[in-house]
Amino acid sequence: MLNQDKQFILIVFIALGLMVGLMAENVSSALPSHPQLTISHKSNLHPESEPVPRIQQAQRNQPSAPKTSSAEIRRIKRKIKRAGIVPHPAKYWEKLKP
Amino acid sequence: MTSTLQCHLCPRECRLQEGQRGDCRVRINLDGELQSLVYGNPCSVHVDPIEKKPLFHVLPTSQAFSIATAGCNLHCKFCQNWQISQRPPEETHNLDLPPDAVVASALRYNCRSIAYTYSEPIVFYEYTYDTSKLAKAQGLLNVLVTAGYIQEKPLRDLCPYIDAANVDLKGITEKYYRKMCRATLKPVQEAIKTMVAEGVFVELTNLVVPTWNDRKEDFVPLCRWIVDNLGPDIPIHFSRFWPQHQLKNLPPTPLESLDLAWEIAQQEGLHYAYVGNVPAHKGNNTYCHHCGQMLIKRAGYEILENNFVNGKCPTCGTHIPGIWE
Repeated sequence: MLNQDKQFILIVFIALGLMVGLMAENVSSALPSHPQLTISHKSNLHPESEPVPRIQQAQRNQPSAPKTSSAEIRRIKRKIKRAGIVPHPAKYWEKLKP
Repeated sequence: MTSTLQCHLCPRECRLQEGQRGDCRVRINLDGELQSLVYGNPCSVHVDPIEKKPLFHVLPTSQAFSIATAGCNLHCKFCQNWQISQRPPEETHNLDLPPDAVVASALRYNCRSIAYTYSEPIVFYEYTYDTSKLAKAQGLLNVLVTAGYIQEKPLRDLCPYIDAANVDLKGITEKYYRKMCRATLKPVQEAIKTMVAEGVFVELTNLVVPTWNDRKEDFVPLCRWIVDNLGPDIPIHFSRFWPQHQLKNLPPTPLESLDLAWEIAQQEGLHYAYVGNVPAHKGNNTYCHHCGQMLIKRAGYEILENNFVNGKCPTCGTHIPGIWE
């Protein structure tokens, strides 16, 4: 049996969950069900309709980019290994002087 | 000790500190050395008709063993393969298929060529290079389907093993490349010229995107650039856009726009203009530019009639550029 405090917390959580669910439903029903098919003006573009996750990518042509920490490097290596990827030496690169 | 290195494969010239990877998502600085994360690990492997690349002047009706890995060095809003091109290799399902296995598979499936396609072969350069070298030795053709965003040196090193390429010439202004692809036009134009100069048989594709590059003012300079810099014999495919990726709100390209592009290409003197992604359009067919005889009748990727005789028009004997045998 749950004591009264725990019961109260449980009820609050359920109520919050229901509220969030209803709000999400309202938002999605407010959106158009079909993409706009007008071509009248470029401002109708939705350029972020398929967001693409950006990973730890290069800071293009920015030599002052922040350094990756040793822990982060270890994490990256583990991730690559877990994915079964065996790195292969690449061509066309050079080491930059510090 | 950490070291920064610079990748010279493509015009982005990414500078990478330890653990960082390039804009392509597949080249990484590990322990101070640049490594490829996709060598021998394609995420797409198919046997396709070569017309699908599209290559209309290369071994018609033949099959191309087609491979791709994750990653791309462009980020086009209309990308048709964004599920693999805009993902790192950890997030795609990859096969273990080293170069010799690719060649063996292509031969087993009676393919005449290997196509490096779907995403961007430039980002899996080392895999493409080693595979094409082996394939050539086995009598297979190698074809690239690429955006051509590559530096001159690596391209020249690869060209001896590449027989044909379909290069996307996505637009004809720097603004278009910058806004639509987060890239630049000039290196693409240079790469196309280099390929042609190195003897690679090149066909071009221009995806016609409504409101972005579908006006006469877009088609005329594009066609003029091709005629002036590459000659009138370079085939050009005007491809129909289909709502994808970040441009889902646009409609498919109206047929009138494709007709306009096709007509302008011919008016500007291009001998072989095609309309793609519209099956049974008259722009699917190959006509002799000299006498107008229909040489190949196509419905999409399918060939309904082939009237070629040794790569020549049977009526007037005009030689049609391409790889026919």
